Parts: sequence; C-alpha cells; structure tokens
Amino acid sequence: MYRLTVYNDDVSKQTLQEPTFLILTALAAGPQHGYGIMIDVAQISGDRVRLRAGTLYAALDRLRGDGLVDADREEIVDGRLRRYYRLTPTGSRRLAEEAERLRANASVATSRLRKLAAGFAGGTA
Amino acid sequence: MTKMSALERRYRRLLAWYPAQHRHAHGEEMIGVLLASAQDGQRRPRLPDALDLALGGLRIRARAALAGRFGPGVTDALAVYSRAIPVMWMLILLAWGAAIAWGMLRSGAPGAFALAAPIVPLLLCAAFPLALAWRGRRAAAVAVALLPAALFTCVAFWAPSSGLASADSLFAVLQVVALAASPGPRRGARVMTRWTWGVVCAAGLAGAIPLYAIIFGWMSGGAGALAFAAVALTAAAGLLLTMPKPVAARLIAMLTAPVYLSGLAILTADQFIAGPSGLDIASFAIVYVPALVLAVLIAVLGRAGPRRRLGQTG
Repeated sequence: MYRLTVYNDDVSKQTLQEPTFLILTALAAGPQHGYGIMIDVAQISGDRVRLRAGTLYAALDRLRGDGLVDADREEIVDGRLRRYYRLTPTGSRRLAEEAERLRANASVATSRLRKLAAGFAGGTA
Repeated sequence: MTKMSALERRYRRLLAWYPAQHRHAHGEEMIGVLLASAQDGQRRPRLPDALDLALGGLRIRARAALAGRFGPGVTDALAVYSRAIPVMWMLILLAWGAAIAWGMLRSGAPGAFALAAPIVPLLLCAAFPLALAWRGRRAAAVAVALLPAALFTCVAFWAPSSGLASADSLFAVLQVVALAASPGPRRGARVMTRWTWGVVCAAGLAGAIPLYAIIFGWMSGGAGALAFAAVALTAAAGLLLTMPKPVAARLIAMLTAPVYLSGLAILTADQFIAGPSGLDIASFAIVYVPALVLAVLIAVLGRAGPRRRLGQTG
C-alpha cells in the first residue's frame, strides 16, 4: 500500500505511455488473457502498436503492482493455461482520467483547427 | 508437432531470464502466448522476441529487487537525490566561482580565469536535466544528464588516480539513475523538509571548503580529509533527523561511494601532481568500479514498463 501512496500522486499526474493506455483500454472491454490483450491492442491502435510477450508481461507485472490490473480467472485451452486479467476500480479510474485528459487536448486542437480552417476559408474568399 | 516442440523448448530456455516465482506463476501462460503469436513453421524464437523476453525478465527481477529487498524507500531516496544533488552541485560550483573571484581580487592573477571557465557548462549540466525533469520531460532529462555522466566517467577511467573525477562520475551516473528510476524531483521535493534543504545546502558548502582550502594552499590534505569526514558524518546525521528514516538511510547508502571518493580526493589533493598512489588505484578498483556497475544496472533495469521502442514494431 505504501508503494501505491508513494506513486499515486506522481503517477496520476504523469501521462500513461501509449502501450500502457492501450492495455488498460483493452481490459476496459472485460477480462482478457495475454494473447487476447496483444491482439486487441494491435486492433485498437490500427496495428501501430504490437506488444511482444516480454513487454506485455513486464507491463502486467507493473500494473498489478500498482493495483491497476488484477488476475481474474484461469482456464485450460488445448492443454495450455490461460490467465485472464481485469481492470481494478483504481485502474478504470486511472484510465478514465487519462482518456479525459486526451479528450480535452483533442477537443482544444479540433476547435482551434476549425477556427484556423475558417480563417483560411475567409482569406481565400 | 516436433517443430513446435523445438520452438517451445527454446522459449522455455528464454524464460530463465525471469525470477523463479514469476516463472512458476506465469511461465505456462507466457509459453501459450509466445506459441500463439509464433508463425507457422517457426522453429526458433525471433531475435526481437528473444531480446524482449530477456529485457522483460530483467525488468521484473529489478522491480522485485527494488520493491522487495530495499523497499519503496529506494525510489524516494532516488527522487530526493534527483532534486537535492544538482542543487548542491550548483552551490558548490558557485562557491568555487566566488572563491576564484575572491582569489583573483586578492592576487590579481589573470590565469585564474582558466579555473573558472568550466563552471558555466558544469552549472548547465546540473541545472538543465533538473529543469527538464521538473517539467515532466523525463526522457529528455535522462538524455541530457547522460552527457556529464559519460564525460566524467571517461575522465575517471582515463585518470583513475583522480579521486575527484571518480567521485564526479559516480555522482553524475547516480543522477542519471535517479532521473530514470525514481518518481522524479517533484516527488523528491515533497519528501524533503525545509530542514533537509538546510542540511543539503550546508553540507554542500561546508564539504567543498576543505577541497578549496587545499587547492589554495591553506590546509594540508590530512586536515582537509578530516574536516570533510566531519561534514559528511554531520550531514548523514542531519538527513536521518530531517527526513523519513528509511529514505534517509537509503540516500546515505547511495552517497557512500561518491562521498568516500571525494574524501579520498581531498586527502590526496596536495599530492595530486605527484601521480597516482596505491590507495587511489585500490579505491578505483574496489569502490569505484563496483559502484559504477551497480548504478548502471539499476539505471538500466530500475524503471520498468512498456517501452515503445521494444514493445512495438512497424
């Protein structure tokens, strides 16, 4: 818990790195296993971000340590273990904050670009 | 099936990079993920995947070591370091500048300008990464802090007799570690109390006096080293009294090697021209090299998390 209190005020002010944001976004759809997260992250990012297994499990280890993600359930498919992960309430709050931050930035950019475009249109008319 | 087995065996071998506990908990699911993302007919792990696995394993090991063995005090101690040491450095450099200006005023020797010349770039080397980290530009701060670290480390290896270069190198490398592996100087500022600032500033200024006194010929090396040791011990006590004890203890542990080398540099400052002594070389081998290796390892492994460079292709 100490770790959480240490990091919360700093980490929550830091922007999430894109792969972390995408992993949390993937889990926002519901619990997923490792390979499912990899596929989903690639899909969400339009194939731009492709997580490798080492990166994914290091991220999951850190996110679990920070209390943003937790193990959900396990199942055996074709003789192989699949462990599902889910967002914790802290994780969804953190993702919501980050999504809101990105949305606010994007909306400022869009409204300014709209004004800029209107300016161009006015200039050429 | 045999081909997949060969691939699986090789993947399993790569999982040796992970701590046994992690392997036990996640080994099977990781093998499943690795095999599911392998291409048809693939017999060997691809190099980027192998590197990614190795790095992921080392990161998890490092995180376990940092969080478990040393406790979260380490990251806070590094955060305080990232905030306090550059400020202390700047104070020492400004004191150096003032001492030179005062010496010039007294003696009127124009050559003293040459001594003052490195102050400005060194001040920038301390201030610039701190300012970047303060604004949340961690990667840029680390990149800029690497410059003095690399420079001092080159000088330390080039002239291992100069304890001062070895000390500077460790201080600078630790600053890179502190910026890369801690929550950063803002966190450091929150952990430090007003009294801690007093200790840091007083220790910086008082600790620099013996060195300058020797250089200006006002003190012998032995007397200077004793004075420096007294300052260092008082500062350690001051840190323990003004900060949470686990953080202070870890900060003191981090500072031990560079402070010892600084003391050694002061002890041998008056014989510096005579060339390296046995003590210098022994300290370089016994203190500097292991401390540097440890610092670099923590820097590389300390801050774990997905990196775009490693985590994505295309």
